[in-house]
Amino acid sequence: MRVKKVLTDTYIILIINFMSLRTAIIPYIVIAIILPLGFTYLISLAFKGMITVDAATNMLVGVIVLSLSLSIINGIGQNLGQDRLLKRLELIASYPVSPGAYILGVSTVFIISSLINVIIMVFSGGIAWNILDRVLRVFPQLLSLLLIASLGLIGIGAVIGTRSSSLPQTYALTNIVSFIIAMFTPAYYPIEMMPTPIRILSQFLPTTHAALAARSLLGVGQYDIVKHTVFLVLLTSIYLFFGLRGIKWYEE
Amino acid sequence: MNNFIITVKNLTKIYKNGVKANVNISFNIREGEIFSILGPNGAGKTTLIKQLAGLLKPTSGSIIVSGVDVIRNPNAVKEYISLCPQESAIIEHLTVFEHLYYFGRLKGLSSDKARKETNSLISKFDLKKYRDQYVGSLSKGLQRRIIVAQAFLGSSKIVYLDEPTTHLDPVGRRHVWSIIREYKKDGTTILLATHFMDEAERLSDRILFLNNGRIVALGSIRDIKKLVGNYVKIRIDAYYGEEITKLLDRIKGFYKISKYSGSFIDIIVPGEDDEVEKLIDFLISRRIEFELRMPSLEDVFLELSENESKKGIN
Repeated sequence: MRVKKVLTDTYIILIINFMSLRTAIIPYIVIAIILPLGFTYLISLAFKGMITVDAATNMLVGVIVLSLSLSIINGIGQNLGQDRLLKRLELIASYPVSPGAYILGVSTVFIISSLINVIIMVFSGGIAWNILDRVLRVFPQLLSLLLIASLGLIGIGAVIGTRSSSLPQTYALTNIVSFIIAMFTPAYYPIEMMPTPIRILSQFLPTTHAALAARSLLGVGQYDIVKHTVFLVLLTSIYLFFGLRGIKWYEE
Repeated sequence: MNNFIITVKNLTKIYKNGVKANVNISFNIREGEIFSILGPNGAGKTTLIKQLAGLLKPTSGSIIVSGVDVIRNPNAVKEYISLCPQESAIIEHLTVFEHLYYFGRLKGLSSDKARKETNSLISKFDLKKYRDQYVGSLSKGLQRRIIVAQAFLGSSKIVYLDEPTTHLDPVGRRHVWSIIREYKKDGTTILLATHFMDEAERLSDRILFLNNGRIVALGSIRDIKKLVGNYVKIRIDAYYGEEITKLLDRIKGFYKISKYSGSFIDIIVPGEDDEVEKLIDFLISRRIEFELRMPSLEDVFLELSENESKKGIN
């Protein structure tokens, strides 16, 4: 009975969030799909004829990381920030709804939208750069890695959304952090090319480990897949823990 | 056996920044009554309601709602209560129907029941015209009506209404009052937090006056009015200038002048005193317009608050 209620509540929260996306669908498509694809298209134009299969694979990983970072961190950070600061969270918490159902409902929205993003990116990028075969061979593993990275990004977004003190601060932080993550993740370029301080910083990003493991999976670079997957899971757990801890059902 | 549905004992809430929002509050609420928490902004009404709703942890004291120890088990109390929060926390991109329907589902209603209750509340709260409009596109008053309507989803035994008629026009306020009375008739216990004295006076069975987080008075309206004695109030327009100055000189020492705002003067006269007649005769003979009023809750509240502050100073 209790499990049924939690599942129903999760579903309702999920639907409420999806319904809310109705009027934001165009900005969402721009941020999650058009912007990353357009950015990559510009790079391909600039290096026309010089793009090797390896470079194309790097670009594909890069565009996916950029898309996930921009859409998830902005999405969940701003969503949680609004729920908390506009007192919607308090309203929901006054209902017989468990915090787990709320967290699961909100996160599922972004996990589903991440999945859609990744699939669109993989197919459009794969076809455009003629590397679809290579990607499809390891698609399930790639998808799993990116899903874990998405959870890590949900955690980072939640840290911002649950701790920012005003909505303008939430918007500014989500924009800045999502951009920093996209830029500091060695996705478009090998990690060895990055300046040392940024390289150190990038080790704390789940997307770094997802990108390095993904590169190895796709046959570009010789990174230890197991090691990076372990780091990815560890960082994701830490960010999720701190992010979700900020969602208060009973204020002290 | 008592029939108290809510029991609060020695409740104190001190925030981390040292603000004492509630200090040693104790009261009981009977099943089926409308109990109002009345006080100015910042009196501690919302803090109190949040603690009773299991949303905010008290510093000390105990709260039992419908047999549930709220401090030990804050989530369990949510099965018995509904809350209309002070701020209209709306989800802008849902239509009026969706807003009520989905929150009905979160309340635990089946899909059919949520749909039925939503339609019934939409009619009851006069929202039919706006049924398919996005909540975010509506006026503050309409948004408020939706949030108040939402509190009555699922027929909770206890409904907490925190400033339910803020942003409503006079007609809207009266409409909401009549709905609140209907639910009381059906046996719902209503805890109403408001700073509108007239609202509390018209709706409440009993009132808790809060000021600076402390109880100033508690009881029925009649009991509370008795606390400040039996008196009438005569309000005179300050337009009469010189006449008023003379009058003030004449009555000084006999009557209490409660307010001299520059635009009017309130004179408090003991109700069973012959002096009332004398004063009225005097005003009539001088053709000075006046208004004779029984003390309102506002007068009582001001008087009690003033006494409290004097105690504080002494």
